[in-house]
Amino acid sequence: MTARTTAGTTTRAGARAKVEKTDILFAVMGAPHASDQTTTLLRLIQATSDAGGRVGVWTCGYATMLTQASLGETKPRNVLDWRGHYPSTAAIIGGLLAEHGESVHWSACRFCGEERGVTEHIPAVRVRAPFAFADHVRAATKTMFLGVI
Amino acid sequence: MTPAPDATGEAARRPGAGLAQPAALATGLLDGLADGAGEPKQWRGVLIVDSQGPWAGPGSARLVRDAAALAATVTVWLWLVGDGISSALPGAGPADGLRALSAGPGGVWVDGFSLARRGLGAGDLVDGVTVVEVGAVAELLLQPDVKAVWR
Repeated sequence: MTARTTAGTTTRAGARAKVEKTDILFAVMGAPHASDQTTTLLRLIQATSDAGGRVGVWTCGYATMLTQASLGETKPRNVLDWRGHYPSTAAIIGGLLAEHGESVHWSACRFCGEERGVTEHIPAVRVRAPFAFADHVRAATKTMFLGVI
Repeated sequence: MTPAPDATGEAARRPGAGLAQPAALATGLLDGLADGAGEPKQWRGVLIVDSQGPWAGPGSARLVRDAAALAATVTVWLWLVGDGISSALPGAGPADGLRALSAGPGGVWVDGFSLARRGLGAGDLVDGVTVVEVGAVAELLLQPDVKAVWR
């Protein structure tokens, strides 16, 4: 058995995936449609990154649906505002990761996603086995859970 | 963890000292504060987040009182965000707990963004609480000796 010297996890192909050290890991368990938790999460990510922090995000349960590729760029049209433009959560998070990609890392639980039909995420999101969560917690100075599944 | 005997009586003068000590909080959270997940760690304080508020059930009032009781031992910041801000409306949250927390070195923080989205302002809140923007919370989250707990 090889001693583990760095935090990491095993991918489907068997290779050891790197888990970046973070100052805080947001473990997002709550469903995004149940409250304004997602807005608060995105504000916290942006603020902690702007303050120089390294941020990890791990989504479980229905929170995995935030970044599914099939959401596309926009939400369905608003019949009361036909010309309005409402970006999808996938587009907002994709933009956030494009802007803060050096300091923000977003992972989604494969088991939770596939159980809910999320078979493909936007490219910046890494899909991880549920057991890899422990590696992400270990790589973080602290972890805060948001909501419950 | 059992708090060390306090010969000076300082503990009795700290915020929340007059409130009942919830056994679960004292034995559970304080053990976590002392031991962490792995290596022993000294936590300077705790950021407690309430995102639900009193209309989600009695848990919100219990959380505020637990936070006030915990403030007798460590510095506690209570951040009210989302629907949680309603705890800071007059008559909504437990006045004794909010008052005790507001008097401490941490305090009761109300999220300005959540407040504005609900058409409310600082003038609508009980005395002693502080309206903050998310940047202040981020600074606290990045302090390695401050634990963060979300509800």
